[in-house]
Amino acid sequence: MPSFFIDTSVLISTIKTDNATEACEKFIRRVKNGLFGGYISPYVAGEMIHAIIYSEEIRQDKKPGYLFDILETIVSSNAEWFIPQNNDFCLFSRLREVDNRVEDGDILHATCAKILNIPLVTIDGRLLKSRGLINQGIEILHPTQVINK
Amino acid sequence: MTKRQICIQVDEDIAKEMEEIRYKTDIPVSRQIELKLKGFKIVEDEERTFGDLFDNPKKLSKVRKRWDEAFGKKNSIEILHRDKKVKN
Repeated sequence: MPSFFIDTSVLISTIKTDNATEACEKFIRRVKNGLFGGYISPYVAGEMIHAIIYSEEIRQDKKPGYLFDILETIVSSNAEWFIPQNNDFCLFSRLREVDNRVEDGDILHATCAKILNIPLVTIDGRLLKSRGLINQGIEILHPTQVINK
Repeated sequence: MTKRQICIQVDEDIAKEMEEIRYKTDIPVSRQIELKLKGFKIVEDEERTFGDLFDNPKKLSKVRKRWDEAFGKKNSIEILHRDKKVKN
């Protein structure tokens, strides 16, 4: 079974409609149904929670509802949790050097994908175009590429 | 109470709805019809179901509506604040 590391943007796109929602939903459905293996890390969950906690669009008293949506999305996806251990993150420093346009959080996701030796699935254009990460042997795919494979 | 087997025809959409309930709850369609005739209704308590977002189109569209209302035209990258430039 092909496995993929799921970037936060893919999970968010399944619940906030944008031009990638359809592809993201199809991809996550395949993970949920066991056709694909899907991995996330605590940092993926943290990034989603951070987006809500610091959101200026959502009133404070409404935030618990959105945090619940995030948990439900994660649980509903049936994705496996990958928790880096020991010296796994030594790789992070190396990957951090290769592309300074990519945020630290995204380098963390790329690091997890590299450790697991599986492609990273994202809709983030900056990640998809990162020659530096691709040259380090990280396969970075859009959900459309995965579902059409 | 003794039961008698009868054959009835129902609209396709009603049958589909009942089959969906059977899938989720294991309640046979015949039992659902019987309950309906007795005036009962099977209603999902959405607050007590968790982790079925991608199996529940109604719930998913409700969540999307809530997120669309909150974030308007922002896409997921903008929601995650990744649109900012990274500083070295």
